[in-house]
Amino acid sequence: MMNDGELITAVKESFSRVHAATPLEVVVRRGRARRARRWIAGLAGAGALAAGAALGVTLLVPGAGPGEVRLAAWSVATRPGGTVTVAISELRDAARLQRTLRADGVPATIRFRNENPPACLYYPYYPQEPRKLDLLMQRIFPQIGFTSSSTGAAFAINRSAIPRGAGLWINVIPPQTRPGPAGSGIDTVGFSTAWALVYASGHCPSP
Amino acid sequence: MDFAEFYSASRDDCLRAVLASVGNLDTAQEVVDEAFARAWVAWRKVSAHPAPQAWVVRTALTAGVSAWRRRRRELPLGAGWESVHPDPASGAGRDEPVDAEAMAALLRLPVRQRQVVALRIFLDLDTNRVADILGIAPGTVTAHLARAMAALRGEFAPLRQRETS
Repeated sequence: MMNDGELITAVKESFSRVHAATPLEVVVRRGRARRARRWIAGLAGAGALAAGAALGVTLLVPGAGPGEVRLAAWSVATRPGGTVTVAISELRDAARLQRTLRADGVPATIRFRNENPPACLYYPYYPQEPRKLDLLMQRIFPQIGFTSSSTGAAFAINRSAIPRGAGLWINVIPPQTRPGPAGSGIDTVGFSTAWALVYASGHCPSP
Repeated sequence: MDFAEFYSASRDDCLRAVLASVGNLDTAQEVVDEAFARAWVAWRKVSAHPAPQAWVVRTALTAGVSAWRRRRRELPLGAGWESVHPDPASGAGRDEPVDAEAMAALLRLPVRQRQVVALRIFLDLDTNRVADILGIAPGTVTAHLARAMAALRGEFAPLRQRETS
């Protein structure tokens, strides 16, 4: 019969090959993004102007200036340095959002339904090196978060990080609650957002 | 201790404790990463906590998973998506770092017993600290731990015998 000490040792040994793989710098970057999320959250809420002023971001009403559009459903703002912020509260008028982003220099394709991009449009960037792709997408989307309603999606796009010839497929589907693994007590609530790199031209290269 | 030292010294134990609670390595890694990111943001407060590791584990277990990457993974995106952009954290083809039978034994415990075991064994916390973290009475912790150890003894003893025979 195992005593308590032997049992504890056995349980610990069964996990001894488990090691955290995330580098410190990734955690710190995530922390910075989390801290910055406050201003992203403010974009779609009543506090948008105050948050923008505090950070030197000029937030304007629709028509008040180039590169800035605020609708009830979503808002887009261009910050100094070229980062474009997007806050989506309602899944309406995807075509106009797409046009707005393209006018701001973001080669985006926007979908507000659960739809895969056509396979032929995948941009073959680091196809065999998913970690590099992950890091690239973190550079393209340096900040992510929620809108002030907590169910909306908000993110920033760094235009200069998008590879030449590539476009962004951004797919947002409605809020939903999904149970996590059995017994984990973790649920996912809010918009689900997915992305992919595609060819900006909309055409596949010749084989 | 600065955050980098804390992270280096604590990340494996925190991941193991959370993994023992949630039973899925990808989920555990995701919520632990998020918890450490929150600890970085609130480091002044967390560093003054009597058990910073416990703060991270509690945050990981209770925080809603709000990270983009996790939501992205959970989308029902169809076969083509995975084949073109394989998720590096999906676990496909990876050697499982935890013995499957040992993990199954832990997952057969009720959630609260599993959490008590995780905090006692992997973080080496005393009964009062575990009670504080889980928001239950110390006596309840003791009862959960006794039941969990009895159940695990029945599960691990045959495993140990098989290994030594």
